Amino acid sequence: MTSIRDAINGIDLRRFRFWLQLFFFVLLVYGGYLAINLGQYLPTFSCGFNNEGRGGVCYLLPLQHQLAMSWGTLFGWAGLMVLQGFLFFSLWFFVLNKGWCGYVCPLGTIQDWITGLRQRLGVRYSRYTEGQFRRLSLIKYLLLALMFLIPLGIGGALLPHDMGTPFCDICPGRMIIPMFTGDFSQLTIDFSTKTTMVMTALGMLVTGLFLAGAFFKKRFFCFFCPMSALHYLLSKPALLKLKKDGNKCTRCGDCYRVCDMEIREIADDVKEPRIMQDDCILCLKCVAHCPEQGALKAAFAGITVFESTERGFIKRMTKGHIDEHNTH
Amino acid sequence: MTRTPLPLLMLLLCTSPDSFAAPPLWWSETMPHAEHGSSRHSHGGPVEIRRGIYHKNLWLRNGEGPADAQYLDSAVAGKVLLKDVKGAVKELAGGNIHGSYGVNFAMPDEGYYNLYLVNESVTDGMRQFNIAKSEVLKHSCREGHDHVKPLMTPRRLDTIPLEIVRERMPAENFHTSLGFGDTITFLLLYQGAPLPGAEITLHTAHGWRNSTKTDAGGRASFMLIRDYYPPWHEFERRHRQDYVVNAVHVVQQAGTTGEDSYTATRYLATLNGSYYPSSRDYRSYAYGLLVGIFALTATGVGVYLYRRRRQRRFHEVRFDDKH
Amino acid sequence: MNTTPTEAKAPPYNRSRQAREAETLLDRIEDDFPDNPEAMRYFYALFRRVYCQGEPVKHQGTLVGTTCIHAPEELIYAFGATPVRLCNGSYHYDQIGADFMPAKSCPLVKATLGSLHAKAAVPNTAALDLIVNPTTCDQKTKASAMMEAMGYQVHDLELPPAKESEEARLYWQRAVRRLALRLRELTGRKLTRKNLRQAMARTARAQAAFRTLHQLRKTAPALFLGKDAFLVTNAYFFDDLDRWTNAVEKLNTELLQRQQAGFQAAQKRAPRILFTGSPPIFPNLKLPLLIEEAGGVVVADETCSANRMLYDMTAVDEWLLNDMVDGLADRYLKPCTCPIFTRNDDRQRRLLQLAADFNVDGVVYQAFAGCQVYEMEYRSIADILAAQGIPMLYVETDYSPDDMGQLSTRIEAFLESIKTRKRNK
Repeated sequence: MTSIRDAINGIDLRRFRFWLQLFFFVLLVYGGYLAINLGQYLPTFSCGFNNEGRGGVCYLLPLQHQLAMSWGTLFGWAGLMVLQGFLFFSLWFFVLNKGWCGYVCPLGTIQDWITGLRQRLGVRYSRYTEGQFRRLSLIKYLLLALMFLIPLGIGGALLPHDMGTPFCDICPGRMIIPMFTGDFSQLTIDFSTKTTMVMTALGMLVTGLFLAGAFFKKRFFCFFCPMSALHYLLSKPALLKLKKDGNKCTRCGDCYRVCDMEIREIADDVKEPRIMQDDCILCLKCVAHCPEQGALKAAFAGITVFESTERGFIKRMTKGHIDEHNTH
Repeated sequence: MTRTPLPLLMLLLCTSPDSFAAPPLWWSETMPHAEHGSSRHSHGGPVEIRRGIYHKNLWLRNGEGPADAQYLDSAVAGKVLLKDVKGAVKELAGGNIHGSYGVNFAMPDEGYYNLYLVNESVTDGMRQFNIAKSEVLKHSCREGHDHVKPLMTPRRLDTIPLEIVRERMPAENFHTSLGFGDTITFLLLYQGAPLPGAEITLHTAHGWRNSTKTDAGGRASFMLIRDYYPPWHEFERRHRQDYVVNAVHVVQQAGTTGEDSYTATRYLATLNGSYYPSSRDYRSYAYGLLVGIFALTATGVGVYLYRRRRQRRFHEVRFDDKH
Repeated sequence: MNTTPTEAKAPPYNRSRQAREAETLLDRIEDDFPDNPEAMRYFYALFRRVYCQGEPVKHQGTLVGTTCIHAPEELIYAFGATPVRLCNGSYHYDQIGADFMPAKSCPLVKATLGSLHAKAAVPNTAALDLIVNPTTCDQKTKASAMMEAMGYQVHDLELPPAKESEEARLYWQRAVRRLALRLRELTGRKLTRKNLRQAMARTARAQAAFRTLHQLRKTAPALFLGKDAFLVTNAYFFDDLDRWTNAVEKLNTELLQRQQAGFQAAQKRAPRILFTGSPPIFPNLKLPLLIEEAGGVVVADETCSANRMLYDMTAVDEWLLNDMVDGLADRYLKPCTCPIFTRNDDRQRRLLQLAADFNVDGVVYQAFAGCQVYEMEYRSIADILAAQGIPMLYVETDYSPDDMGQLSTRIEAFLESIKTRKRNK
């Protein structure tokens, strides 16, 4: 039993993550070709605009559609449908908590591939200062609020119907994910009305910004993602948790150095055992790079599945030392 | 769009130069008067919803094309048949709908409903069959999309002597709408079999038409033209327009129908449809890619220059990571 | 006595007072205790050769002296130079240093300056091309100018006085980068991914070996005595890195065998002591030796000549220079429990965690007379240890051997009180 646990605690997390992310990417972007349909309540960016290949639909698309119904319908019997959808979404979410972001999300996987490209080219990455981090971190809540308010505004006939899916209009996933199945039609600007013109132009701007941003900053978009904000608001009862034992922490900051999202609390906070922050994508790189036995652990339904160990740390760092090629 | 009493129309028909060429009858989704209220838009065109069930209104018009056809104010002789999604055929009675003669039927199931009017008459020794067909789609996204594929196939009614069938576009589904520049193919069936060499004409909303003959397999293709040129701020990307396809087939065979005898039979079949602006009219790849690439390069160059300035992150000492 | 070994009429080194000081200590370490591990022979021999016979220490490339553990060694190795830690523990040099240092100064700084003043110091290393002096405590900071006056090239490595704020951390990263620049000018070589990675691999191996040793000392009853542990870590100051790592790995293997055989290096009831405070540097292992001669065993320590020097490990996300150098800088600053920082929360937690992990019975807190920072922290450490019910002995001492008698009495009394407490529990 301990040998299994040691084997798990000593795995090469990078490689494990690479293959798992690839698996989920193929499942969600090409699964439709294999008649796989995981439903339309997925808590990850399995883009609904990828009509042929999608293995399930990102919940934000049906959510926005539903919220845009007229108020009479929405606050009547149709509201139950919305709540039911939200319930299914929450149930999916509870299984992996924010691990959906770190291991499943196709847009996150694309960003990780772009990061791998940058590393191969030897270009260094950018970090936010603490002030920038604090201020920019609020944007995702703003986008989440707009994502709810704008469709509601449409339902109340306050806004034009063209803005029915405001977040989908600006989400880079809508432009990029269908490209993987040969659909480039989302790269257009729609001139039919002023609203669509503005929204699709914004969408293309965001896409360009996304590609450049993901090149210079690890998981650039995840910092601004409203799905991430929605996740965090629901994350308390989720099954997969990230826990910290502050007594064992030496505050060496190794976890902070490797964190894609640059979360400082993971290193500096030694009081709170529930250490997952709102930006966390549960990639578990922090756990893999902590040299103190048992300081950080990932637990599923209370059972520790992955723990920071001295042996595991030494094994992974040694591997990095002897690697001749700079693989991600 | 004026209303003309039918007897007068018949008189006009009789006195027209080509008395054999009676104007075709066809079904139209368009309301006779726009001010009678708007209907719900759905994936199958305008619908009415009564107590949660979709209903379709179709008005009978006669004339060559949408530009010069008129609405009728009373019924014509002939049977109106509806073939529903499950294949059952029932007879309908039309009536006055919003001031003109039309039919209204319920569409409880998802899929295509085929409506037929068969009007038979004998004039000057020529038997005329006027067959008006309409194929109506009922789809609501709330029903989901798993059932779409098997329902796509166009269906036909073999008791109809001459029938036009619109073949499906490649990868067509319930959300596909015909747009300017699309090529639509029609299959002409005479008594259930493809009919080659017949004349078939497409009429678009503003009087343009295109005639051709069906090929050896009974098929003919037309490309829809663009005929919607509003000022930019009035452009509606869901602007629906009618088209009509009609086909003529004459059979030289004598016979009698009760009291009349005839030397030949002329079959005239029509099929209506709707077409919309194609997305190519208002979606621009060029501008889209321009904006996207601009954002990408602006950000990239911006970050590069920012790093060159070396101010914020105090990295005065630089390492060269080239190896 | 102000004579330095280079004066013509001086006796041969191995009969100098300093050599005898070292020899006396090594005799006590080796002979006063039975059953020293086989692998320790390497270390005893090393110290005898270097400290008693004045044998020159081998090194490769440029020699860079460091006066504190905050100087990032990996950078020095990466540039093809060798670091050597100059902190000195000899009473002989302490007395030399006392000539030009104030009376109430830290003996460590006095001894270090004394050894630098003496032209052929021991350990006998070649001439130093550069001394990297992190501006840690104020005495070390002022020592920069003195060292320059002695004719050395000194690089002030600017350590911030706090480590929590973003400004401090960024300041330190910049200071480390500036050190890299200085080293580049000194050695004429460039810092490349490959050579830094190789340097980090070597130190990582040494740190991993130390960690194994550290974990082995958790065993109760103790497998290994603190006197030997301090000797091992003190050897790290000047010994060749790979040779040292090999010797420690051999030691670990032997200790593992001892563990499986159930060997006890100390009595079962020997009080397990956590040693903290000013660093015991060879030959000033006075206090740990007294503790162990009185029947205790030092199982763990929180000093910069042992645990703190080698315990923390660097993690890097991508093996690109900018990440590696910043990662190294963080490793040298963030977990550091040196009392020169504004807050000592990390030190408190570290002591409590060590006490818990090693099943410690008591803490001995050594503060050098004149070491303001350790003396000031005594209060807070005493409070938290008292809150946990862990007895603590506070000893203020310096390098002179005059207070050995008084200290051994106090230590014996302390150990007795611990034994009594344990019996009465």
